[in-house]
Amino acid sequence: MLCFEDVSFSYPNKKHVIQKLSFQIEKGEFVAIVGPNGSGKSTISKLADGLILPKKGRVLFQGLDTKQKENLAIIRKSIGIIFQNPEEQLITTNVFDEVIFGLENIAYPPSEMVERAEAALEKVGMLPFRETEPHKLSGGQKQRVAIAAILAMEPKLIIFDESTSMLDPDGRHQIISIMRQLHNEGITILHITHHMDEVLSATKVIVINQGQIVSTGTPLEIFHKPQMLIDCRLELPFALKLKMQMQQEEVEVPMHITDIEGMVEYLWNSR
Amino acid sequence: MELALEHIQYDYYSPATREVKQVLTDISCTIPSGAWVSIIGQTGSGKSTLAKVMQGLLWPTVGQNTMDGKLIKPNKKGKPTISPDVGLVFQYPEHQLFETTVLKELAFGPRNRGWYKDAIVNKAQQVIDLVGLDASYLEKSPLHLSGGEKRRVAIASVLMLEPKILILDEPTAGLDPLGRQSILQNIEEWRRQGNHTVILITHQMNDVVEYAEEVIVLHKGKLQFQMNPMSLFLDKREELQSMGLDIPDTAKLLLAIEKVTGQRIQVASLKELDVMPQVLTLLKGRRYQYD
Amino acid sequence: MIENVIIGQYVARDSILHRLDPRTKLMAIAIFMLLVFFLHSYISYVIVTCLVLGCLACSKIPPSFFIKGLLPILFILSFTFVYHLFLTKGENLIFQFGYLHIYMEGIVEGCRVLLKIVLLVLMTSLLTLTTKPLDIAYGLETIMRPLKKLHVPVEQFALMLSIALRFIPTIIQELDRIIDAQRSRGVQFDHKSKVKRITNYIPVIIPLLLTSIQRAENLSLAIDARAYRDGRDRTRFKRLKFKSLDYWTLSILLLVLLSLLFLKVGGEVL
Repeated sequence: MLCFEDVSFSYPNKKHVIQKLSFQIEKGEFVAIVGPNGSGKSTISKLADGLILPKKGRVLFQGLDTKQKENLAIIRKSIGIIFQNPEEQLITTNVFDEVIFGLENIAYPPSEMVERAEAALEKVGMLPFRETEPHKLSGGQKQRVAIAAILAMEPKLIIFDESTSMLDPDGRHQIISIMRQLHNEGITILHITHHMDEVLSATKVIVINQGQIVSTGTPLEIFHKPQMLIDCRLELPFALKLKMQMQQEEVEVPMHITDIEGMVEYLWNSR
Repeated sequence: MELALEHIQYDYYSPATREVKQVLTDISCTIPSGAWVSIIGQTGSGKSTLAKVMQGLLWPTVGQNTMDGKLIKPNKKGKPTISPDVGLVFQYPEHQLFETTVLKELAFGPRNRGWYKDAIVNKAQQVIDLVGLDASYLEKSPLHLSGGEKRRVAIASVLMLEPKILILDEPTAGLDPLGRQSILQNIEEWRRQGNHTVILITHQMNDVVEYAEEVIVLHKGKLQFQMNPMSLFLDKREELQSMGLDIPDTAKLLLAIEKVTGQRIQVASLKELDVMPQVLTLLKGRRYQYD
Repeated sequence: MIENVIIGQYVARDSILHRLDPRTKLMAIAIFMLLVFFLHSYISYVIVTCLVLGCLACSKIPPSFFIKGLLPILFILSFTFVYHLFLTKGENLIFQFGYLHIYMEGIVEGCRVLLKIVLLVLMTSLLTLTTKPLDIAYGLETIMRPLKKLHVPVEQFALMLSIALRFIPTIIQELDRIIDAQRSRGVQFDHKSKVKRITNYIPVIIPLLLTSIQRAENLSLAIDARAYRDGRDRTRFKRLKFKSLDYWTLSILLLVLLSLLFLKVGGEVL
């Protein structure tokens, strides 16, 4: 669905942010890209959407090259991005208009807009805030409005570009659970983050550091490479730290147990 | 320096709705000298307002602050005075940077207080080191630094004024795990070196147990608890949950173990280094029992 | 601080004026300006003043809001009044002191000009008090739509306007934050020296500018990412619809305008 082929990118007069990056995201996947601050991970969403163009290599979305200008309309319609800063992506003066804005851009029939917009707001639980102005919403609520605005456009792929990093724990949980729900409904998800505990629900994890892919695999495969994570300035979720420690004592805990309670229960009661 | 709040109430009047909102209600607490105290509470619980009241940036509607027993009074004009002994690092403090070099940025606070140039340069060299950057940064432009480095410069600019008490409002928001840990480490070192007091406002419960000796819990503008992290997180889990607050991983682990064994393991603190070995010993012991 | 700023200060009430289409109100303002321009005889002043007072009453907005709207221009008002008071020559001298001559005509002229300005200000604040900023923007956009044929970027202009409206509160919040941060680094914004007081705002303005530029960049990315293409190939969600109330309002206003015009052209009968 989304395909990076040997993509390199750099901002003027700076060293490469991304070097020879290649990966693919298939339809229905939930991919997490993790990496420390400054690893170039946020450049990926902009490249995917054709907001910036690769210096070398190609970015293809369903076979459409982002370098071809005429492809951009369809690419941007099909890919939705939730950016990091909740304050800097709400464009209009109230919640309802925010959703309408995107619908207008994709030339959706005006007579059907209300229905579509309300359904999208309902989905993220923001319908009661229909007429509210953005500055009266919390960070998590703003992100949910941004999600609704994108959902209304019926994207095929949604990129969460560090969308949880400026939120409080409550806001983070909300966004993560919406993400899961959307994935279950068949939307392809790309989640860019540095919170390792957020990637557990992903089907595939790509670890990047200094603009290059360091490792790819399922969350559990990735978590079983603690040294690699430490080298990439990332943190192991606590339960997995415990698991690693027990492993050193040659006590194996089954792969699928990833929470603290489950692990203690297993370690205490199983033989 | 000991900071004491007595029956602090802070009302905010909103001209648009013509309503007075009580942001803080009858808060009394003492921050012991040289301690690391964490303030936790949901967004909107009044944490940031409390920080501003502590520094004197906001003047309480009712109540008073004392420092080492001395009452903090408004100035002659009756305007609030900012206590020079209290430094406040705001959320996303990098947004306050404006100078062309880091040195000038660091000099900003001291210049406002009429320091001499030599003293400023000396202090700047000391402080830049404290926040984990080296002297070469002094000549760089703050604009060209990375997000984490900007954050450090902003913290340094507050440390320049030699506060005895440092209040930080979510200083690590948006930083990656390593960046977060290293900034907190730097602050801990600064605290130890000068017997300074640190008040950290945070949502990260794991950071609370790693550093804090005491925790203040705010909920809807009221002080709910002020106690040590161990009793708070192990004994008040339900109360915290009802306030929408999580507990740290180490506390979760200990409680999980208590659940399966019916017994609580005695630990020195909830720091990971104090908890993990104890738990491992226990769990290993159990395995050998089976073997 | 945020709520103290009176930009686009909309007061939600359920009144006829609130229900009017913003385009009606915009056109009404235009007609009203003409009306004021044609004011001449005493009776016309009475009619238009009654009209304005009637509108104010209809709006269900407390009078204090209108008084607040007039306060900032108090200086201009008094200046214009004094200007006309002293500089209008006439026949009925009623006061003389050295070079100062005050004629009856001066007092009358001063009052007239004063009344005209007050009426205009009242009517325009009535527009902003009863219409949401965004609706004004939409109204303007729709009225200006024919200009699109002349390649005037009406859509982009409207988007710009709505973004500006959207970010005023955000920028004010930001401003508050930066002022607090710099105060806590020792800046005194109530410094004795005036020069110092002004230069003390540099550490506020620069960070505000920097964050605003940063925000603008990110915002433009967000807009592009939402498939906006400079206003091309879009549909528009219809919000504005003329109702009979709108037609009535405009007809009545036009009628008043025409009759006043007639009175004026027809000579100073009254």
